[in-house]
Amino acid sequence: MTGVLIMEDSLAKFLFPALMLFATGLLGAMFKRNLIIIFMCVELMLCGAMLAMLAFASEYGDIRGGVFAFFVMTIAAAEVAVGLAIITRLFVVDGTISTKNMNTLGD
Amino acid sequence: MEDFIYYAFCAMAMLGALGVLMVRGYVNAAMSMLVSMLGVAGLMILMKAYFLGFLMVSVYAGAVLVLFVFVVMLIGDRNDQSALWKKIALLILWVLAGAVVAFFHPDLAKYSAERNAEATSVLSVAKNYGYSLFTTFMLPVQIAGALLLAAMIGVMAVSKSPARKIKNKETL
Repeated sequence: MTGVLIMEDSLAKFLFPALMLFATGLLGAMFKRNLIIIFMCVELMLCGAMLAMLAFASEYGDIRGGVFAFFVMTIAAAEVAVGLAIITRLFVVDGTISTKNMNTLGD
Repeated sequence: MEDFIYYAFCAMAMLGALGVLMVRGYVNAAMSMLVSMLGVAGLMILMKAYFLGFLMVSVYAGAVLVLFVFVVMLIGDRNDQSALWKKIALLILWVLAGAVVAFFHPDLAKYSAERNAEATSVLSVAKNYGYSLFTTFMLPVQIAGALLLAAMIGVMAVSKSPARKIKNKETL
């Protein structure tokens, strides 16, 4: 029943891949052990959010959704630059980027 | 025909995302993220948001992904040693997530009555973004600029080698 809905409704049509991208990113961010992969998953989540905003924007003919997708892109670029610098630094200091060994604050 | 293109881009976006979780090695993950990004850009173009689709390709697939690959080059591509059962579990979780999303999908068709007739033309013109950014969203643009500057300075501070600083102190 929902399958037909996804095909016909133009909002749901684009919302489904957006939600799936977000879900995939969330799964990866929760269950992966690798910092770089976790970062890629966060990017996927941002992508999903962007797609959802654009779906609503194109549905209601409102430019604000598109502008917010624009801002999300800015945030993602800044986040990637800072995060990858931290990862590189961490690799230099620790010699590994696995989250298995990151329990200094937990002890 | 448009349905076929939609399904192709949809499959690219979602399977590329799944590939990030499944494949071995960072470079393969980055490449499958590239497939996902291209799929998302295609979906944006299907929504007639041409400008953002182009930005998606140039900023994400161009800059962000190159940054990822560059860091992989610095760190070295090593294989992700996760066990097979873990991957199968992730796959099952992914399918379950898809089922949940499809099943609890809200009945959005009833909101479509308020749909704007000229909805398609707003997102497709790049001029609209410019007007909107420099009138309604002037303050957020400034804040985003400040954020980018702060990120740049932060990256420089983080990636500065502390060893050299200590050495300088010793010589002083």
